[in-house]
Amino acid sequence: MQPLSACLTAASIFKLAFVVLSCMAAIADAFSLSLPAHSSSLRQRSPSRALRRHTSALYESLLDSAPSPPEADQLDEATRERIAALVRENPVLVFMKGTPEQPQCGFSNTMMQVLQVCGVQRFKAVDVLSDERIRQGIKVYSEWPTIPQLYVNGEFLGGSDTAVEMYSSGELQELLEVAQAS
Amino acid sequence: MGPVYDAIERKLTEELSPTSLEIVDESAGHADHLGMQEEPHKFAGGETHFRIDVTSEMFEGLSRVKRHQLVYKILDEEIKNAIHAISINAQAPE
Repeated sequence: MQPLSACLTAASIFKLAFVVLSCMAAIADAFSLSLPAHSSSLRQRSPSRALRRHTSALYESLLDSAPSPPEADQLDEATRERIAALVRENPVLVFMKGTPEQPQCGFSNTMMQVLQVCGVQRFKAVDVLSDERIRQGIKVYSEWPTIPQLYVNGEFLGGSDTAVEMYSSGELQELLEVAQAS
Repeated sequence: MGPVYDAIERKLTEELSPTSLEIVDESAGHADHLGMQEEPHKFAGGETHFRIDVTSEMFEGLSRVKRHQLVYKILDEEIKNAIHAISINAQAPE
């Protein structure tokens, strides 16, 4: 595992950014293109093991560490409609922490890697870190307390563990094919 | 085992009558995370990351999502207050 320095200095931020970027380098280009040839080595190893090794070195924050005020657990109508529209309009939709180029969490990173390995050409990523209402609202909407969250063809599939499981069984690739054909 | 571990074990056993239940505290593997260093007091006691493998008849007929949602509902308190991350494998008996 990548050792990090003990205090939050510029150097440790730099190191963390380097680790994130070096892992993300392939994804940054690839997520909008078809799967490049060199990634085929990823398929030969057990996918969940390879992905877990990648994620273990990154900052993982599956749950929000910031406490949410009671009102935040409510889902107001405007936010509900926004989420419903996102689900309706995007065949492949991910609510994540950070962006596909720079995931801010190990589990969101895993989700990105799964989508990349499946060769997803086009998907919508919503960065919950930049929208507090969506961040809390989506947990109520999906009845799922954690981020990331994957919607395919308007159906909520689950988080990164589920994505890895469904990738291993081949289910995910099938669903994604249908979604991308629509 | 720690209080969070015990609570998880107790609640899942009570609600699901599982035929098999394995709970692994994986917190040590995350001890070098940025969050841990920013707020060491929060993560000092371990019990922040768990892997749960549970087999129960109550999962029969439920989709993967519904199985996870059931476990989340049972462990709602722990998730809100104590646990940082949770990994679930929920099976129905063969």
